Amino acid sequence: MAGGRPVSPDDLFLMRGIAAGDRKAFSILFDRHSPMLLSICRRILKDAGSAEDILMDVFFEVWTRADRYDASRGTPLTYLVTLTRSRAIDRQRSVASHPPESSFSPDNSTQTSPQADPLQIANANEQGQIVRAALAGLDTQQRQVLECAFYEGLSHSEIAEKLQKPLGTVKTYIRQGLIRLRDSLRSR
Amino acid sequence: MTCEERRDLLVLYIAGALDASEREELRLHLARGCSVCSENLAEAKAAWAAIPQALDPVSPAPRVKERLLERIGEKSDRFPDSLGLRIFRVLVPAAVAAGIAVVVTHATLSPRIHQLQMQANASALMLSSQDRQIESLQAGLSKQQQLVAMLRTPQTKLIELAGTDRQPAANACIVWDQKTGRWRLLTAGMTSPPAGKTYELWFVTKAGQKIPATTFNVNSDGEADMMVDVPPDIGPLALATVTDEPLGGVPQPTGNFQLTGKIE
Repeated sequence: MAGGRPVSPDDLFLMRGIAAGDRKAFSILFDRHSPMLLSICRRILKDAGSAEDILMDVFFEVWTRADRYDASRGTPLTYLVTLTRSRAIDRQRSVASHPPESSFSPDNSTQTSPQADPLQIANANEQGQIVRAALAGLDTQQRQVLECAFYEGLSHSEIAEKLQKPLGTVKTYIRQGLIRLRDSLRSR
Repeated sequence: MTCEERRDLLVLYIAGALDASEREELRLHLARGCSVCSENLAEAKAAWAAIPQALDPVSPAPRVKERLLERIGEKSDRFPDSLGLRIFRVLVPAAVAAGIAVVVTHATLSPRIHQLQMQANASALMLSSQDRQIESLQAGLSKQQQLVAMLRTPQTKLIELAGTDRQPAANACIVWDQKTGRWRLLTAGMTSPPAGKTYELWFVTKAGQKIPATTFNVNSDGEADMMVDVPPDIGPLALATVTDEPLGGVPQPTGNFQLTGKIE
């Protein structure tokens, strides 16, 4: 199975509910995944206000364009992460020439969500540990290349130029890192 | 290249780290409906999407959710929760389009094509209160609309395939849109391929060449619905045929013939 763990029937059920206009399903999905998605936005944008804006845009799109989600192409979480990353990188590029005025300020956020299902939090923690362990098995340069690709949206040639590495090395690092992640998730 | 070799390339595909020719080769292969590579692609996407799970999650401030719920509340006023109205807003325009398509006839269309048009209309008019059926119907309706669009094209040719002794209950047809150079394969009544095997469709030229078109599987009703691009320089075609082959397909037929249809 894709990702090495069963697709949570809950997420699929929630997406169907959202497609049918179920606000409760939408609220549960938001509580369940907004912490991780917000961390992606903050990592990419380095600005709390912009990160929150993107998070709202993403979930607004989830609500208004629920028909865009195709279960045959991947899990709801994969869809949410992909959408969030795409929107955040687009925003990051559009403001690249106009640095945000506010500095990174986490004062309005909390480290735990009072609304999220404890079981989901436990599952997310477990998954996070697996991913961290897999990434920790890479050397610093491999991890740096992977993070450049994901969080900065750089092409492999742009990464090679930025890090002053051969193109082939960059591709190898990306490949090794993702294969390691893939196999770690699959072995669960 | 085998699908096993493509498995590791797919992670680079997802990360946007392939050059243009590699990316195009994979894209075309995936477009042919390779089930093995589709599953591997989903796996690669999941690995890519797992990267941020190493970050510490940060819960948004409560006002973020409040503002969001207000925002969707405004949107919701314009989209009633009524399931019936949602069905009406989506399927009736499609039913009208399908209804219009029914009255379009063409001199070369056979009764089988007319039957497919009727099926497209019937599908558009089927209603269901279950969310899963609605999604399935919407997906199916979209496919039927595409089919009707193909059938309306003057350069459309129909190829009927019959089951061999190995598929006595099967029948199939190919709708060949010569304008766009695409085949749409529709099967019914096929048995599932043996374990470890898949079905493979072949272009057979008048010169006797057998060129792989696509691999496919069938659902529990023995149905398949596949789109295939016909290579532009393939030359005159004589037959369309289906064999059973190892998973991932093979470059030349090795298995047993399942379906065959002559191309006039």
